[in-house]
Amino acid sequence: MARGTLIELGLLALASILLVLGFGLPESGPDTFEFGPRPAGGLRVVTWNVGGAGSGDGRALGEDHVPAVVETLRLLDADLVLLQELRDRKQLERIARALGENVRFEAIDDGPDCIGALAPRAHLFQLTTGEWEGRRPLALLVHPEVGPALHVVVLHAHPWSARRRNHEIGQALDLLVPATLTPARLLVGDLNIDVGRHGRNDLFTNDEPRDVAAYNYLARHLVDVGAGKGPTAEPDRRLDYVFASPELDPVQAGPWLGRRVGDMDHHPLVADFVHAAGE
Amino acid sequence: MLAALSSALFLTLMLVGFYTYARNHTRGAFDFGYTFENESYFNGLTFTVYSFYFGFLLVLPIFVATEGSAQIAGETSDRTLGLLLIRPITKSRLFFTKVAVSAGYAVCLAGGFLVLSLGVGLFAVGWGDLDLYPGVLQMTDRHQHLSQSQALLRFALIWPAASLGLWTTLAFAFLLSAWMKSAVNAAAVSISLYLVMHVVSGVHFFEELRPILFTSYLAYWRGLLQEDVPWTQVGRDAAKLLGFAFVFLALAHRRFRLREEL
Repeated sequence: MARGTLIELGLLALASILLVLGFGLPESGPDTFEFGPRPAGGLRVVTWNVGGAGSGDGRALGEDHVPAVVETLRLLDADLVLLQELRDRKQLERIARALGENVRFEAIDDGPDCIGALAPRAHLFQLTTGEWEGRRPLALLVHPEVGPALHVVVLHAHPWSARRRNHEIGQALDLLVPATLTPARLLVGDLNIDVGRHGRNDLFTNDEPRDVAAYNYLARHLVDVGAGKGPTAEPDRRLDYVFASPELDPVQAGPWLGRRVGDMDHHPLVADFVHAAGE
Repeated sequence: MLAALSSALFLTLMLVGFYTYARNHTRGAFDFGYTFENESYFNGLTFTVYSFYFGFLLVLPIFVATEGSAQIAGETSDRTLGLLLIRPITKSRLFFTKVAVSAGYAVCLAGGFLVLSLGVGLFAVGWGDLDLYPGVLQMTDRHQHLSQSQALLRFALIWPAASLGLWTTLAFAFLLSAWMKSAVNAAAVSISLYLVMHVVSGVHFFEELRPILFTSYLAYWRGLLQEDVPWTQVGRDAAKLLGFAFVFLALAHRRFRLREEL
């Protein structure tokens, strides 16, 4: 065999070893939510944009999908469920009644879609949000059966304009900043921003730096408990978030995959918390 | 010389852009809404990350591809290859000598550009710690903080890691150089194909295609700027790049060895 051929075979053998090492070793994927019972004495929070992709413009939760949503929520047995893209307050009420007679609910229905909250084991008090630029969030004071009260803001941020998202997210955080509020705070919902390192996202936003600014402004104040847990919406996008104050200690969090039905494009994002010691 | 001048021009433009952006966004001249940026964020190390990232992906590959393309196709079009082969030297030896010289050039290019970026950044922008935020250059999914000394040490590690990435581009250019008779054509095709692959590997839609393009892994050195370096991931991507480089070199060598020289 010619010396040149041996050299080429040697190079190809080296290449094969390296490529097998590079491609063959298993890659650790993100930890998604492992279904299990809610933490004893803790708090399970679910946020879910239950709307459908429609023809690209999005549409509110279809009545034919309501039984599947109720079934998933029944299995999750969460303390607090925060839904976006509901059709209206009456639809939320029907979901609440399907989950149980004692399930409390609150909704805000003055935007392009209805945002709702369900609480099987907590009292809900809706708070006013005052002057507002853009999509109004649902602001709540929540008194769980176990553990201290918490302030929650649920937002469905503007899907197309990064500038509007930036203002809506900033204003939503401003609602949670006053020192007079309870220490435990949550900002949750479909924020329609996708930052991180899993690929280029600028195809989906009209101003990526502004989305990056909005995300990091939030992350300076609250903990993104779903970080590193993989995409929450199709196609391969992380749009849904649970941001929590440090007083809430996350046990596990992540999207629960396989629960979408029809043209729904978001997975439910589940976060289990225990209150930090001393709370 | 041309590479040095172009790099200096690139860094000058980056400096102007960085300076005006930082001035606008930290002194209230521009309404950016709710943001994380502040004066301490805009320092020389952040400048280096930005300038080296874009320079590495868009400027240095042009010089490396030109160098690699000129090695064989240039000697062919100048008709100097035949003269070199008159001497008692094998084609393999000539090939690998050229590869070694070009690889050394790539190492010098990566190191020189990095040192120049750091020098310009630290002296023209200022010293400080390195903070990386999610979404910025797709480098991290959570806030990362490196002290200045830690960051400088990481940049020292980035030099060999980035050089390895340039070697793959170089090997690709060698493959085209072995097939073509004109250095200009070889360089043009190398750069064009590099840019096509770079764009495709950066676009979300091509998830099936991206893994088989070496350009998808070139910026793997960014992992070295994490607080906890993901060594397995960095090693995996480095192995892929070296694997691609050896495949290109094996094919280039075969073509060069078997072709008829006029």
